[in-house]
Amino acid sequence: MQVKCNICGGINDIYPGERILRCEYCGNSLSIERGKGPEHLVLLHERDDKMAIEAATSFIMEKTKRTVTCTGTSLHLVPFVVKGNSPSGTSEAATSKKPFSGLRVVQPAGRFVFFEDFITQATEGKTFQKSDTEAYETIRFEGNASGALRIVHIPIYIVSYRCGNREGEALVTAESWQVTDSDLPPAMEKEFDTSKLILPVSLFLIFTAAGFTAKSFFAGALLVIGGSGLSYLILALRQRLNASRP
Amino acid sequence: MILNAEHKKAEREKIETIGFKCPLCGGSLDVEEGLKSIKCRYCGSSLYISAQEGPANYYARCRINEGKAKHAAISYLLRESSHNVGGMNTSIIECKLVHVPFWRMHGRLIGWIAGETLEKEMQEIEASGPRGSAVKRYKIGSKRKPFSKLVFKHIEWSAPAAYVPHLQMQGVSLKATMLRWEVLDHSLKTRQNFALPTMSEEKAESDAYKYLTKVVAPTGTIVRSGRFKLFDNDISVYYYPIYFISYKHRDRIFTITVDGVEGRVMGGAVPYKPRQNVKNIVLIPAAAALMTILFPPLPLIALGILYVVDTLTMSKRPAPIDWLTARCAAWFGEG
Repeated sequence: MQVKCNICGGINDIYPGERILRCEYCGNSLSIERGKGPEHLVLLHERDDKMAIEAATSFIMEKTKRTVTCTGTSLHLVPFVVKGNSPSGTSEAATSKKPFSGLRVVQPAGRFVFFEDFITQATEGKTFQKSDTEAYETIRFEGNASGALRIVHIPIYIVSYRCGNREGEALVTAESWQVTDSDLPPAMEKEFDTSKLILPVSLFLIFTAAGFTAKSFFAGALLVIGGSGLSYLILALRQRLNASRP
Repeated sequence: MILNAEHKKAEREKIETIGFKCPLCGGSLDVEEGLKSIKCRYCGSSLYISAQEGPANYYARCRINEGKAKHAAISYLLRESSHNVGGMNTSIIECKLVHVPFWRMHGRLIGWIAGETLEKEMQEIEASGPRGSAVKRYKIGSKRKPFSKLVFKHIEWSAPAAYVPHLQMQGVSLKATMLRWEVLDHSLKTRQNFALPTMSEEKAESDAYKYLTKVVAPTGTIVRSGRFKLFDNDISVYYYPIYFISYKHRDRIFTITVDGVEGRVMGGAVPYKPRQNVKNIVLIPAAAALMTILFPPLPLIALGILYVVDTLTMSKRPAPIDWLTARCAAWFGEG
């Protein structure tokens, strides 16, 4: 964004967070007085639908243990009010539009520019390409920014997915790839694979048969103990070999 | 795209500049962020700056390139997973250098505290011995003593200024003196990745104050009252470079963070591979076999007892077959 030097009238560029500037023309130090309002920034982002889908899939798979198919994505530029005293570090979306109202995200890291620059330069096609802005649907700011540190427009993807016979929408924050979904399908119960029983049952049968063929109970017990020790060694060794295989 | 025209206009009108001039001689002043007082280079008078000068911003230059950071992450991943994670199903999907902000405050703290100290001492107690005889026993008790103390301390405090998931560092206080910090050029924020502070200066100051007043109390004391004054204090933002490396393993995304100055891995998530418990697979059949040799129906009796014990505390008793499946899953399943 540009400001005018109040001493020589020269136009200088300013950047987010800057409070004191040296005028390019007269060399004077200038204090940038922002009035009462906070800074209004935009997080720059290149649309990446593949990454958004991957992030959403990873999140839903982890939470529900189910397979997911993503059916579509859309990108929205959502305003957030960053308050300086939030203990969890999250900020709330300043819009009443569904599904963003009440959404809380951690401010992602990335490249930040002034909202005004984003609009003018995008329309003039200077720094950002025109396609960058056309990729978004901008959500209008509705909220109270008094006392806030800044207002940040953060790109949020809506990823629609199908999980079993259920359809849902997950919100993916660009750049940090944080996923929020308030309406997740219930986690799948882990089913027991009966083929895992083959080994213990066959071991039991072998041990019992060996025990009965022995002449006395003690000889049988010794056989079982020896046999179990040997099979433990073999199984442990096999597991270790499997683990070290690249 | 909706252009917010009214907003655009308001934003432009709101921002003004005020040039710094010496109020005595009118000479221009060279003021930097974070500066509170200055001497005029023309007339030599000392001046106090009352403008919103903001905190000073510094950053450490990244010394590790992307390749080195990735290499550190891969060797960490191999080591932590004991070579379980092969290259077949794993790929790095993003490697991002982020400058993470920290608040840092230094200055001097003066004040006094008063309260009580707890001192441990041996106390003699009378007790009756084995045959009614009186014996002396000792007990460690504590005694309270009043104390007061003057505090004069150089202070150094730092804390993360933004919440970044996976961040494995508490502060940069130790490193701050060792590193070469450079004054931040704000235009970098539009070209490189920055995590902007989400904790305000006021909040950082009050947090620092709370922490410092707690720290000055000696151990083992209870502070009842105190009065402090911070002076010569200076609060500034330090940006530290950190690589965030995301990788995908079997459709799941994990992140590893690498220090951008030292190239050390600060932390990260490693996929967990469930394993079968070999001990259970061998020992449970062996025990059952032993019982069968001793008395054939014994394993069934043992199973019955286990069912009763397991379900004793449950409000609703599950069907034996469901219980057996759950038991088998716990014994022989992966986990």
